[in-house]
Amino acid sequence: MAVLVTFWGTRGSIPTPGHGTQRYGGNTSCVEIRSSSTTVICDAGTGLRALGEQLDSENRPGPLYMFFSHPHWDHIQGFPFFTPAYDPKKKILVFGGEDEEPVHGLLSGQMQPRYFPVRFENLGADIRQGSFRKDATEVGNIQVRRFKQHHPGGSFGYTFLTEGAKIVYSTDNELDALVTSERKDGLRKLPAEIVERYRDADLLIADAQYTDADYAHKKGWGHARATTAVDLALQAGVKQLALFHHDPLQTDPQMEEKVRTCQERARRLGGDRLLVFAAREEITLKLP
Amino acid sequence: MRNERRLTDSPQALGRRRAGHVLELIQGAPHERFLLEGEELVLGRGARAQLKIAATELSPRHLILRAREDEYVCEDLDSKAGVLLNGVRIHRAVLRDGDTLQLGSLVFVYFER
Repeated sequence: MAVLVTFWGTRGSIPTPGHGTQRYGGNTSCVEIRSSSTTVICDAGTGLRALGEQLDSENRPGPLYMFFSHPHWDHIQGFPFFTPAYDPKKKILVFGGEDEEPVHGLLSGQMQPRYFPVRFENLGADIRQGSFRKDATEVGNIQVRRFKQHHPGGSFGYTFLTEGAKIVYSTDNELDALVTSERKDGLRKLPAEIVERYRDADLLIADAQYTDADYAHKKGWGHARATTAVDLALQAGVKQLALFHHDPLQTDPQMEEKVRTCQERARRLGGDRLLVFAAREEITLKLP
Repeated sequence: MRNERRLTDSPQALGRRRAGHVLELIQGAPHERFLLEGEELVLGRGARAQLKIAATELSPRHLILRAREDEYVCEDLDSKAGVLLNGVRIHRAVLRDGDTLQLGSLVFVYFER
């Protein structure tokens, strides 16, 4: 049985529906990882609404496990429209930074009456805060590790291991702020302890919001250059890199250009075996 | 005029789609164009496939194309050789203009006109 990874929302910052973003999609961050027995959801951006409809139609048994990178709007905004949350038969465990600020509380905050007509406590599902022990946990048959990333207010990346596949979800992470040096050929070196988190991943879903030109005037905004995500994937021996968290200002043709630039960079830096592509809404990958 | 076949799973489905959805076989077998007009079209080497291609590397039921509003969703039917969309192994995907689908050595381009 293969592990399936579906992109339900790939955009960063704000939803961008419209003709210009039809190919890659306009919904904000939401990724589903499905093993033979377990369903994990990474972030609850606006893409979560369509995932909810899909889950309703399947009636797949077992709890849902939701992992949040952080509670910025583009990562939680879909939650009030997630129909399984209204189902009294459903159990949902939410994971994030429970030590600092429980995700559970952040989700309920956006559902206060001033913002949304349904109160969080009136949702039908049994929604609970999940927990980590030394940054590791196990949900169903998926082993999960979390790690801190570089983003204003903080964010978490996650590593999922299941059924022979390693998937790393690492969005909202300004990799460029972590670069230690640049090799003669231009490869941006990252600290070894950071690279190890991504080592030999079958799939890396990485923040790749900015082009090099964008980043020149967006340093410190908490997002990576797509080209630096390529460099990380090369250093870590990643097999497939999904460029993710697309900038809301990037149209489909600009996205194509960004992907081409990244593919050429991977080839130039010796990454012939690294597959680089842009995450696109409603595509389900089959791993390993 | 290139060889073009209209594919459907029912006569009622012919002409129902607003856009023309075309799957063009460009590599691995003689060139051919398929105009997709059915609700559910199976591609494979089996006798019951609407889009039947006699290539041994294809599974009898390799891939299904399902119409959804005015687009097509393709899904791998647990085929042996798998399905690559623009070089990436997929299980399911909404097709977009210009996508390439690779099934073994057979390469198709999907486009809308």
